[in-house]
Amino acid sequence: MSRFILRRLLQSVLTFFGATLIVYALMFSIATDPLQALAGERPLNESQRAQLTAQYHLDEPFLVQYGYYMRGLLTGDMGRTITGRPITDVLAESWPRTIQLTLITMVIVVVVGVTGGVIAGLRRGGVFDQTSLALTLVVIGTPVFVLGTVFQTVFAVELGWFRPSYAPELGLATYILPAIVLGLLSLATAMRLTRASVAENLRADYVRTAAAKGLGRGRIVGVHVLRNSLIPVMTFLGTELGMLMSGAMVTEGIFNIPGIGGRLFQGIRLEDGPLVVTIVSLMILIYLATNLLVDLLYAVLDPRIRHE
Amino acid sequence: MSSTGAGLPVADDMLVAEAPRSLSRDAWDELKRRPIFWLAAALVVLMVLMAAFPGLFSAVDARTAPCSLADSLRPPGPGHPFGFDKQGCDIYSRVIYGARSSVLVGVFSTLITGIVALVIGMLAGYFGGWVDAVLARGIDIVLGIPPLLGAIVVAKALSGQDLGIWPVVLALGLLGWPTAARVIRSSVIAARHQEYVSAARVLGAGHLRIMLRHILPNAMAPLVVVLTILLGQFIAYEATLSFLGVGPRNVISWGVDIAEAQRWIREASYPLLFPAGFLTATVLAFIMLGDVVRDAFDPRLK
Repeated sequence: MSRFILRRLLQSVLTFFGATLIVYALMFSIATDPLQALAGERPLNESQRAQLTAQYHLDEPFLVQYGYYMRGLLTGDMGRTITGRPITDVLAESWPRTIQLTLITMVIVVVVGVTGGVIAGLRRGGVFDQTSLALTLVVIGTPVFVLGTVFQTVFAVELGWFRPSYAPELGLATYILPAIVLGLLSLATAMRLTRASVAENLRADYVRTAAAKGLGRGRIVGVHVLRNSLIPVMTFLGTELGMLMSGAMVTEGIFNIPGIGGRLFQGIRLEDGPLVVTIVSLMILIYLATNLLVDLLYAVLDPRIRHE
Repeated sequence: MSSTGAGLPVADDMLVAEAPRSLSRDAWDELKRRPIFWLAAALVVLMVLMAAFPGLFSAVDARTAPCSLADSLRPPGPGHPFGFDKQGCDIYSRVIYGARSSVLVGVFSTLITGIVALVIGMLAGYFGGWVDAVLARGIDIVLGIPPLLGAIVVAKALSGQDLGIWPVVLALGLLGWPTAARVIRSSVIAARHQEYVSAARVLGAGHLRIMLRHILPNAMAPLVVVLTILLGQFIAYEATLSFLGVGPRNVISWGVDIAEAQRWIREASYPLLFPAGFLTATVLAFIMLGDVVRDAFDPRLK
């Protein structure tokens, strides 16, 4: 087990540096004038140029620049936005909102997605199964921003069930519609995965053995089938947690939620290069960290993985 | 057949009337019976036609037609089935002309992805050993970058230059391949130890010949499936990037129109719903097509 953990850790360290190096290279080496790319369309004066050059060490060799950038990212010194505000301040203020939104989303995904998937898997070919298969396919084919804008139009503007944008005075309730939008894709995928997994496990030999021993259906499904079916679903949900972050960019943008994703959304529109690069790197970091955790968890749950 | 058949690609089997039924033949028979296949295929053909010949569908050329603010947000009426947007442009013609950038980005990104994935997946699966180990790490690294975030960075770096659809195509193509490469790698590994491959090797065939003539045809079906689904996803990404304001520049795009319509959502919702509907239908068509073809090729699900 410890050898597996060690190997997996080394791999993810490599992946992390590789991925951030690629992002950094994309940002700073393909642009003919990286300073202007950071600032977007706005004109840069000499002192701003000097400040950005010093901040990103653009007068040094590429790998040294990258080293400084990584050191900043890992020690919490992330520089300033294009308007001069420390990025750490912006992040500290936005984090809680994104975490709240993501957690509510996760609850909806687990409760509705897994329950729906189990029901569909137990009654394969039934009305519920057929309907949910068709509906989840439509959801999988719809980009998040279309879901967001259409739900905002229909449920908030036309029907008036929700507020069309962030209303902090409502407390957590303000996150419900955004969380549904953000979670629908994961929900659909989790449901299909659970369905397939349950249906497959129902045909397994150990289920026949359990039935032959005279166990009731409730016990077979509740104890044997569910436990084995939910392992791949858990893995999926773990990796999805990281993916939700990049989905949050669009959802928070549409509903005007000033979380991390909403800041990235604004950063893109306001052409705030430093903010965009920092948030994107952080999101990749979170994505890789959740993937690593899930992998380790998976190895604990399923012994076959660590003995491969 | 078996004594000389080793050198023939699988596709040739289908042309010989007395040949045993091949997997592709079985899959095609299965596909023909699925209405969802015909629906998805018809939608794909329609979108490709719209992208190639928008003039067939709309008498108004959205690229040159004047928009008049007098028509701003005029609801659908005769001659203008989808109404007008805030700027007073005819929504129907903009929706028709918007197909082109979506389809082009989808096709070119998929082409790049397909080539990169094929080369990397084939080398990793065929040679195994350290080649596989190195390439697998490369796959992991690129997989660590969500394509949408990577594409934002690329688009940001190249902002200010008018390069049309190409920054988006390159970003999606160069970040989207890892899943496809894994699919190819595993089907190559499965094919590598087949007897006909050993036979070809004994007969003196080189690595390249074995890879191209004997292994590639067997890896094609899963590759086509994964690429079809990816094409749908790339179209969704292109629209999302346009929506965020970092998509292709100076082209008519569904994502841009949706973003614009969202600003006036309290006044009128149809300028948003029509492009959103077309976008969803296109993405869905490719995903359904990939899904149904995969089912047809995977007999385990029957």
